Amino acid sequence: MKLDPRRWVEELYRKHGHAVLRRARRLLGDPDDARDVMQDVFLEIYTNRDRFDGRSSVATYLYSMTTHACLNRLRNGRTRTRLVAIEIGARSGISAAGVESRALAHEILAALSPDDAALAVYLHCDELTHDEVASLIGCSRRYVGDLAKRLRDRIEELEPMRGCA
Amino acid sequence: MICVSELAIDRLLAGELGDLEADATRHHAAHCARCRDLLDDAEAAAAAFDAARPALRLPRRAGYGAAAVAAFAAAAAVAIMMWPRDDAATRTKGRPILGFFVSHAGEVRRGGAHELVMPGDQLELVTTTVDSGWLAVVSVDGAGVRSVYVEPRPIAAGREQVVPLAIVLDGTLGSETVTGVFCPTAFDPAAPPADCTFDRFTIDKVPR
Repeated sequence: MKLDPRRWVEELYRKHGHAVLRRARRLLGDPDDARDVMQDVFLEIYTNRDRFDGRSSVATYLYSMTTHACLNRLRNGRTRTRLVAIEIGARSGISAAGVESRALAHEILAALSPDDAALAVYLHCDELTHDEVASLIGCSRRYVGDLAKRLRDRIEELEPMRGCA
Repeated sequence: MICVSELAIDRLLAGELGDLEADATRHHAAHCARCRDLLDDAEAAAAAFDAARPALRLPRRAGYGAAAVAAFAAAAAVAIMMWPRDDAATRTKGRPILGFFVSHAGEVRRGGAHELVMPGDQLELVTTTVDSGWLAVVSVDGAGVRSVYVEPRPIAAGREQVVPLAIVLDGTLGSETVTGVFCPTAFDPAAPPADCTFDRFTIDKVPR
């Protein structure tokens, strides 16, 4: 039975809104920005609902959408590229070197393409398995391995450039 | 088992993991402080969200932002003011009339019975009444889904008064009936009182 699109999105929101909001809060670190992103994600689903083809699970689809929405906001907005700084800093327990690492993370994330930035988040912030990343971006596990290597190379290219600025 | 990701926790809470995988995840979390914290946090966030869920803001119909709708409303208002009056509307004495205009590809036209429309077209509603009162507009689309296009709102008396809400048509094809419910006072559109009157039109939505 075909659901009314509005009801379908509202039902998605009731069931999965908390996960979208939690992830956006985690990535953005700002409750107001997170709520805005959550609204944007569900509005995007409502507007372009034909794009959800059911190949991935709803939770996986929303996880990916939320990540991209947060990265876009970080890239464009006032909270620019705090994401990796927050995550890498927190996970590494960096103190004295923390500021330096955060600055590096900011610059690297900002220099990556949107897809590479999302991949960096999945692999280095979320520590997802290659299987999970494959389900998020809709490709094979092996291809994720190739992407991860390419990403490492790209990050290594970027790091020395900092000294040239 | 290795530590679980937040994605795995999302899928667990969404009921998307199989029984074995879900049991393994919960078992692991019970014995791993990091994963237990992640799961506890996620469950607490879900409970807090359910207890105080922010309102979801969706457009009335799919596909267009508020700016586009407002722009259409302004353009349509001008077009409607300039439009020659419909004889059928002016002939009717006393009975409220719900009329409409269609915007398609930037052009506005007056809508008629079984008007052919397409997904993404926008409707602008107009009312003609002798007395001021209240209006709600409900629709039953080609899939049989009922939507309230216009919640009860006061309307002024007069000919072809523009209802200041543009409706963007979604992708459900087929015949859609739009009914205006005219009442003297505020009312519940699900159960309009006996002194309300109705006027309706039908549009036929075809693919682009």
